[in-house]
Amino acid sequence: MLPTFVIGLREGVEAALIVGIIAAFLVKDPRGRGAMKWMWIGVGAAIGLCVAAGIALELVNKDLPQREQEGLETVIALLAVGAVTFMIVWMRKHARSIGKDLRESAEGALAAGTTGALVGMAFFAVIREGLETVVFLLAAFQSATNPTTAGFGALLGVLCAVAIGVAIYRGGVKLNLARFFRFTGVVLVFVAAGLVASALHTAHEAGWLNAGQDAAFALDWLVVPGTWTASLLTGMLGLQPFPVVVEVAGYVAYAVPMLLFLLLPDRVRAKLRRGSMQTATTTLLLVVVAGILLAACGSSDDLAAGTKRVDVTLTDAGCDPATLTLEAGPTTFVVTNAGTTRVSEFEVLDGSKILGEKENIASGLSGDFTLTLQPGSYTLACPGGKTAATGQLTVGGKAVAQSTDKRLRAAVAGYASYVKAQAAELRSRVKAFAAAVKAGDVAKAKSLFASARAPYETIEPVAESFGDLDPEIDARVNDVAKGDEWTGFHRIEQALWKRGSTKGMAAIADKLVTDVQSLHAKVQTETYQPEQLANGATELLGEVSKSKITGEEDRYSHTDLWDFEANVAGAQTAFGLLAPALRSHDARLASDVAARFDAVQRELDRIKRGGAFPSYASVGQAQRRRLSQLVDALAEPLSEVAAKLQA
Amino acid sequence: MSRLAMSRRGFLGTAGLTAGGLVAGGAIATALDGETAGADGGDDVVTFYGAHQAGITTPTQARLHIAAFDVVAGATRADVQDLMRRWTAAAARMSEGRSLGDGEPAALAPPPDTGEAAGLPASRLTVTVGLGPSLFAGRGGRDRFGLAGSRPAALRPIEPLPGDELDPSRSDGDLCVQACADVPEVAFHAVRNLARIGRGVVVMRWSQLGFGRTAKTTDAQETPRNLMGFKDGTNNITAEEDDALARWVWAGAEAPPWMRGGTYMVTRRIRMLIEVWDRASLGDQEATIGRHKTTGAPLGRGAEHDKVDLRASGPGGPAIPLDAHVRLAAPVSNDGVRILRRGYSFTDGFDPELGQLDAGLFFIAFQRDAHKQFAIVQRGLGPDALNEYIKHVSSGLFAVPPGVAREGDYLGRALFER
Repeated sequence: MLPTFVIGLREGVEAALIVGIIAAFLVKDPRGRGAMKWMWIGVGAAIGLCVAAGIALELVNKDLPQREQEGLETVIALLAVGAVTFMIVWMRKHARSIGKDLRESAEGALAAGTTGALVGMAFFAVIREGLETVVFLLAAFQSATNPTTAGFGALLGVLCAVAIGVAIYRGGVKLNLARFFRFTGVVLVFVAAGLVASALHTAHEAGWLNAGQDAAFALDWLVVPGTWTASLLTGMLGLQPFPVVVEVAGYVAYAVPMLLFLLLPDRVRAKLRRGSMQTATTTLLLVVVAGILLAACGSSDDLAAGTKRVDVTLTDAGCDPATLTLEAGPTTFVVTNAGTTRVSEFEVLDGSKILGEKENIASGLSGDFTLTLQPGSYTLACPGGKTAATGQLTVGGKAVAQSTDKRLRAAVAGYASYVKAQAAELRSRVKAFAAAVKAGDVAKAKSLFASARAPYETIEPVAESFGDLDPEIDARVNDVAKGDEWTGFHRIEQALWKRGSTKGMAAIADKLVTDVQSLHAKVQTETYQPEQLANGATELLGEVSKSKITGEEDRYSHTDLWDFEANVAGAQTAFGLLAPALRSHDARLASDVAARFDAVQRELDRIKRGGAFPSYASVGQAQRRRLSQLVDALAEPLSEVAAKLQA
Repeated sequence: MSRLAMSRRGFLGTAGLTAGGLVAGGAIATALDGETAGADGGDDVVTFYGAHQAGITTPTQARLHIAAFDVVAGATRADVQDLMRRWTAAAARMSEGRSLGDGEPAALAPPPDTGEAAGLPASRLTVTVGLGPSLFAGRGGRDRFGLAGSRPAALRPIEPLPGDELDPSRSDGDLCVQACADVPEVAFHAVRNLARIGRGVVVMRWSQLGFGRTAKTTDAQETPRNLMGFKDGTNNITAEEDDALARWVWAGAEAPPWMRGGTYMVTRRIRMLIEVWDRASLGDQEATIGRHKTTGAPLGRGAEHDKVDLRASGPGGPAIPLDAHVRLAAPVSNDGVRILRRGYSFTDGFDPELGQLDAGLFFIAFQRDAHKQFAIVQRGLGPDALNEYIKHVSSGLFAVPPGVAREGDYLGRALFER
């Protein structure tokens, strides 16, 4: 609500000032009195045109398919950024002289003997500010959590602006315009920087931008979805719980130079200008972007997914730090010589056995090596160091099995990308579903429900490994302890099918979007073991037995068969990735499981009508039993796979 | 002869449970735990009379038949009171291994005893009677029998708990009868005959047979295994723990006078997804429960009765996983709360919808206040890894009034003759 208020207030004040000055002229000039009416008509027409433009844009946007919608949102957001930047820059330069300039051109118009020119000035002033406002507001609305309060904020802003305009016109109020525009400018820079980030986000959703999509860092401790602080931080500063690298880069690259431009006192700016302000700004911008891109590359290209980076510096003393506590898993040690000639080597030892080392790191050089650390105690060595020639490394966490089988490594890597792809699909489908829910479109939301859930059901065991996330996303009503809030898919399912309404669901839909985003962020760095794939597949079939065949999963929508098929698909993918390796251990088991997957899928296909599943309520007991027993027949041999792979 | 033998046993039984003398307690445990049953009903009789009802701290018998009843519309308070009188007398008599009815049965009338247990020993039969919340306040809080004012605070229905998939037709009830014995016919006979006596006043609401004990209630008993193949109830409250019984099982001054010395029974029919469980790897099964399957020892330890050390760490993490059943059910995870468990394995054959075995654990627990004990523990089990493999499908809560001290008295007299 605050950002839209500031937008409304600021643009409103600009327009009101211009209209006020023109009105003052018209009142003073005897010929102008009749033109007063025309001026108001011009202002009204301009407002009407702006509102119409806004509605038209929104309607066009609504009718577009998801992907194109994201595209248009990107364009609108960029337009808004452009508009607000221009406004800030222009005002920064003209805030002091705006009244004088206007009066001069008004006098000029009057001297030329035409009130029509004055009326035109008012009309164009309002339409310019109005269009800016509309574009800006649309963009703000698209990233606002609550459209109603956002709209209210804008209205309030405009009303305040009108009041201020009237007060200034009557001469009762003296506003320090320079200060007013500078303060609102700062707020708007943050809002616009948020819009830059959200434009980069929607550009990714639209498929235009795929670089730098790794999570930069987690802000979910600060931006707790559903809290008022979160709406303030998200609304005002554009902060997201899990910003990705490119969004952070865009945010900083916009906000820092703009703030400097706006806040540096004129003296400093003048001095800077002498040393070429433009060059400085450009350099700064380039440095920021390059730095962030470098960081992005460092985290996504140099290190394989899930590999942790540890920095060690060689000094005269030896290793710095000399004591390390790490979690088990693949770890890259980046060793840098800070300028010592005493030490040029770093080793990690298990007893006397060297697990990994980097030699010949002369002063100023650096190097790295990667190890898969297992829990235990190890020794660090920096031979030649004065006080820290040896150090201690303690590794905690779970043991990491290292597969020597190339096919298994490929299976694990393949599964990691499958999970990421499903999580990305889930994110985009849930966004569309949540949009329908928030738009109050019950029929559309119902039609999107089953397919929005499907990607989740394919990777459910992975989601469950993140503790609270699964209950937040997928709890059924009876899974929720008294006093806890019921959130996620099934809460909305109940509203859609039982109440036939989306009332009160906007916040739940928002939270669902945030939760699947957080799932998406978390799977980016997740690694898997072959037996996890096998057992995860068995678990997925356990899910089928436990809640899909009984019809308890989707008890309001009866879309259980969609979940059923997704569970089976997820299990089949995991199994399919393991199959090449399994075949060399136990070819019969591999073909048996494959055939039984086919049998389950054939039975599911038989139930489909025109490519879609019927309501599970219409599936009879005999059919349910057949499905259940086919799943049992599949799950039984599937449960043998994990042990076979280790043999 | 049995009269004399019984009163002796009755004395010892009371002494053992109330005074808690080590010698007396041990003697009872030995005497009652004998699986051999004398055909004359000597050593295998558990006295019906005592400060508390039998079938709570009694060493768990091998078989269970439990049933809940609803009082029919039109029955009066006097009808219910009279039923309690007749049930008490019949239960006392059956506990001694005797048939119902005196003298020669008339040829023209149906026999007073249904007869299937004739000639069988008492088989340590215990009959435990409970009163449900609905007896005190019917639908919409209606005071059906003028008992509303006597309802203990602890006898309010348990609110839905996380993961519940309850079938109302298999849950709750106005009255409940738990019959336990070492011989299945004897347990069945008891419930059948009490149901017969109640006809016209009560109708059966649900009934469950249990075929194997899953808890031990004395130190001398071996810890049994449940259908998941794990030892169940290693750290149960046992009859020897007088302080724990007084603190956690018997209702005290907080209860209305008629309930003091009684206890509250919770029943839960817990369906196990046996087929799914059977294909979980041994490692997963043990991580789910938090114990080793063969020995019953806590993970990382060697013997069953080794202390469950939740802070112990194993290779790469806590020895007992954070979502393991023993961790979440442990008293330290639940404000120190303990309950006395007395559940049985069950199977009702076949689930026609799934084409799978319909089997699991019929959980029974006794405690001083189910809201402060069972419900706390069960709520804490929300994130339990075991929930992947089980489903709670029925639930019941019953006030189990104190025992009757002597022949002629009846269960719940202090409630009805207030």
